[in-house]
Order: sequence, then C-alpha cells, then structure tokens
Amino acid sequence: MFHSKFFLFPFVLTLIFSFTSTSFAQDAETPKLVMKRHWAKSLGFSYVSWTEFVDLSTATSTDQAFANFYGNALSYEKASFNRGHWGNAIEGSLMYGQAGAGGSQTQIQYQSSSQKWWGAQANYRWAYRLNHQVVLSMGPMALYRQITWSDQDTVTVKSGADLNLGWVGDLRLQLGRNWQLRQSIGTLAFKASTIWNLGLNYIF
Amino acid sequence: MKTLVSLFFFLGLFLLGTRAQAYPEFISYGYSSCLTCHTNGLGSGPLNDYGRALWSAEIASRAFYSKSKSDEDIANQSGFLGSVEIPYWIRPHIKYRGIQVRTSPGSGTNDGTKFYQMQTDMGLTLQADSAGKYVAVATWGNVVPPAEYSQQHWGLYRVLAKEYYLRLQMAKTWWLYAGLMDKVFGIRGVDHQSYQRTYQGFNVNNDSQNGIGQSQGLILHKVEDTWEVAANYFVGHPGDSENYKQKGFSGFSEFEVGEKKRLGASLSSAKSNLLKKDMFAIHYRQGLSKGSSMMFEYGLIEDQDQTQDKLRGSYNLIEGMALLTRGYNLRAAIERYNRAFKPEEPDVWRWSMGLLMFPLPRLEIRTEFVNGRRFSTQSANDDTWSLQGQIHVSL
Repeated sequence: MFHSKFFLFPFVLTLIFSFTSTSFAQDAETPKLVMKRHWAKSLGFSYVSWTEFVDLSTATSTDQAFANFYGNALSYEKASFNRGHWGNAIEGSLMYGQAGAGGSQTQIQYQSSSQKWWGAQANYRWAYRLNHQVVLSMGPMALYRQITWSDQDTVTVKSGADLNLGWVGDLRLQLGRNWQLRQSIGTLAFKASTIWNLGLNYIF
Repeated sequence: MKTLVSLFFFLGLFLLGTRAQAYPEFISYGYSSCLTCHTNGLGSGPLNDYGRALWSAEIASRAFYSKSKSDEDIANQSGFLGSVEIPYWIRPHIKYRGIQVRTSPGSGTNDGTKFYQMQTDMGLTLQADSAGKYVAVATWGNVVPPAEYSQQHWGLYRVLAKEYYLRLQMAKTWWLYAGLMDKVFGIRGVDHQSYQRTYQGFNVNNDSQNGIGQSQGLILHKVEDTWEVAANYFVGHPGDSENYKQKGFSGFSEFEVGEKKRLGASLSSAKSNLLKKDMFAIHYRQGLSKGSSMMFEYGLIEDQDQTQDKLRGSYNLIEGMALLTRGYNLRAAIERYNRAFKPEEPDVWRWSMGLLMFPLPRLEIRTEFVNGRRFSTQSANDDTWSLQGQIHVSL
C-alpha cells in the first residue's frame, strides 16, 4: 500500500468518469466523431512500473538483486490515422516515482526503499484501429530515468541503465467522447524487464 | 463496519441498481443482466435455452459452419442433445475446465509445466412450468482443493455440491432463490485465478478460513431493465468444517448510467468461528463496440481472525476486452491486492494479457501470459511469469 499515491489517481479519474458519464449520455455516434478523425492529440496520466536488475559490489565481492520502479507519467500523444484501419502514434512522457531495491542476495546484503526517481519516455507506435473504439498499437520506445541509490557500508549499487530501449504494445479503449483507457506493456533491453503503463488519456 | 454499511446504503440510494452476467464483458453485446442467459440471475452455473442459443449464434465463431447455415440454424443445435429437442422440464448440463500452466516460460526448465483439472461439473435443471416460474437446479463437481496445487497432487479426487437451489419467480421482476449458491458480491469475471475473486474467498473449494465459496442461504433478487438489486443471507457450505462456515449477509446492486454502462456496489459481512470478514466494493462495466468492453472493480476487505489484529486491505481489477473477429477476443487485465493498509504490507500486482476464444459453440479456449510483480518496503523481487492455456467445454 506504500505506493498507492502513485496508483490511485488514474482510478479516481476512472471513478469520476464513471459517475459523470451520463452527462454525455453515450450516444452511439459520439465516440466515432473522435476516432474518425485523421489525427487526435491527447494528454495522459498513468501509473507506470518496471523492474531492473541490480549489480551490487564491494571491494571484495559482487552480487545481484532487483529494483522495482513505480510512479506516474504525464504524457502527450499525437495519433494519426488514414482512412482505413492503419495509423501511427507518437508519444512523449515525463515521469516521477519511487523505487525499492534488494532481493535474496547471498554475498552482499542490501535493501533500499522509497528512493525517488524521475525520467522521460518516448515511443513511436504503428497502430491498427479495430473499430471506432478499439486501437491496438506497438512500436519502439526509449526510457530515460535518473536515480541515485543510497550506498550502505561501502556497497556500490548500479541498476539497469539510465537510458533504456525496448518495445511497447498498447491497447486503447475509447470510453467516451474524450476519454481513453490505456493499457501498455513493453520489454526493456538493458538489464531490465517488463514495463507497464495503465491510465487515462484525454483527447482534446 | 458501520462505515461500510452506511456507505453502501448511501450509494444504494443513488445506484439502486445489477450484477455481472455470463460473462460480465458481454454487456458489449447489449446483455446487461445475467438473467438473460443464466438460470441463476446473478451469474455462473447452467445456461438457460436462450443463453445456449446466444453463445452459439452470436458469441462463438462460425468459421466451421458453411455459409448457407444461418445463425438461427446454429442456435437450434445448441441444446444438450444438439437439435434433438428434449422436454422443457429437464435440462442436463455438463461443464469441464482444465488449465495448463507453464511457469517462467523461456527459462529452459522442463519441470515448470503442469496441467490442472479445474472443474468437472454435471447437473440438472428442472422446470415445473413452461414459463420458468418454478425452477430447481443441482450441480455437483469434482474439484481439486487449491492447497493441493502446490503439493502437485493432480487429478480429481473430491466430489462437492456446487449448487442446489429452488428458484421462484414471485412477481414479474422479483425472484427468490433458496438453497446452495454462490454468494452475491461483485463482478463474477471469467478469470478463476483472479485476485478479485480469490481474496474475497469465492474461489475456495476446501477447508480454509474463508469457507467454501458456495453457501446455503436465501437470495432475493429484483431485476428491472435499467437496474437490479439482490440481497443474500447465507449460513455456509454443509461440506465445510464447522469452524470455517461463514454466516452472514451480502448485497449487490447495479444501475445503468448510460447505454451499455453500469455502475454498481456490493457489500458483505460474514463470520465464522475463526474469521470475521467484511467487504465492500464498487464496480463499473461499459460495453464499447460490439464484443469490446471494459470493467473496473475496487474493493475493501477487512479480515479479523483469532491470531492477529484486524487487517483492512484493498484490491483493484481493471480489464479491457477487444473483439478481434467473431469468437476471438483480446483480453488484458490488471489486478492489485494489498492485504492491509500498512507501509510494510506489499502490493501484489498481476498483469495478464491473452486471447479468449470461442472457436465453436460449447467450446472456450484461453491462452494468456501472466506477469506478477510485488512492491514492498521490505524487499525487491524479480517478476514472475507464467503462460497459461485453458479449455472449457460446456454441454
């Protein structure tokens, strides 16, 4: 529960959306107006998380551990579609959050939590619009993040890479006239594993 | 608990409202209530004739049928004996689910694959009148207690009554159920390993402090076009140990807030000799384009047993489903569970994505990968991965 503040906001937004959704009465044609556009700009707020592999070292030994990152991302996206199903999207995000490192090391004992980090992410995705309310997309991504791990007892800690590259897949559901639910999952190439993203985008 | 009760009734005043159906995602087809397809109007258990026909004629792929065969023809073959009509007063049903799970796929280890028999049920639905005002349902099934999974005891070894109840339609929109049934609470989703059902205690088929998921009791259910509400009084499963029998009440309501949009709330308060369990949840379901939907549920769970302080935690489910082509769906679900609102308690996450397929009437196949992650101030962990394939046959 310690990181709920990073997670809660998207769901609060979901609830707000749920309670206010009658205001536009969900007439069937409304979402089409958005999705039929050749382009759509949106602002997104989401929960983001990934895991990095940690190298621990002292003067005499080395060991490995894990680091779990979580936080929020504020993103700007521009998506464009031709008259058919195919299109593309480009997105940039600023991110902040906390991370914890540790694990079941045998040589070096190290545990750290609530370390602040900040970062940025960019991705380009090829998109396929299944229909007016569902879009699937995937493409390359780059993730930059900055974190300083606290050293303990002369232990040197290095996790993942400041700049990481990977691929991301994205499912976008059009909930109403302006709101999209986003679920993204991707892989990171350098000493890191899966990255998740869950949130809402507002189309303007 | 008092706060939860107040909150529930406060919401109830505004939300009076349904329960998830079979499947709750099918709100995207315009079917908002479970009663449309299930004998149990709150979902799960045997399908009624309409539900069988709907599965065949609208949900399942028709790739294996010739173009000359109409959906109506396919629907007409959806009975227990296919197109052979049996008397209206009797409807047998058989259901099988099995799942193959490979943990850490790609790791090169061969011992990470196991097949589990999840469900082998059979039963009867008896109807006293053609209008279905008086109905009796009974289902028994072989189950493997979840505890056995970790001990690698495969196979079926225990017969358990899953349900037996009488359903009485008291008035046009009122139903009364009496007997052994699933408890009324929250969305009854398609994922039987979901945190959203597990930590509520609804996936339990063996002796545990949560008690067996099904319980004897009474359910009063009112279903209107745009809302429904249900109240459940329960006293435990007769097959459960006396100390584990959960006795209490639960309620569920759902209200249509727009076309193919439903907002609801649930409450449960139960107690056994060993555990007091109170729960509250809100949920939201929305049908998007035909076959595509999203669902959300947030719940609070408060457990108090004899050995520790009260634990109040929470869970979330958010699921998106997209219809790729008739009978084939992409499903992505994110779940979180936290046992207690304490800094040292980890948040457990589960992210699953895969295909939910109905290649033929009566047949469901699922494939998905599941990524697990755990956040804690006490330690950091590597992700867990599993690849799952599930088959479900329903006759």
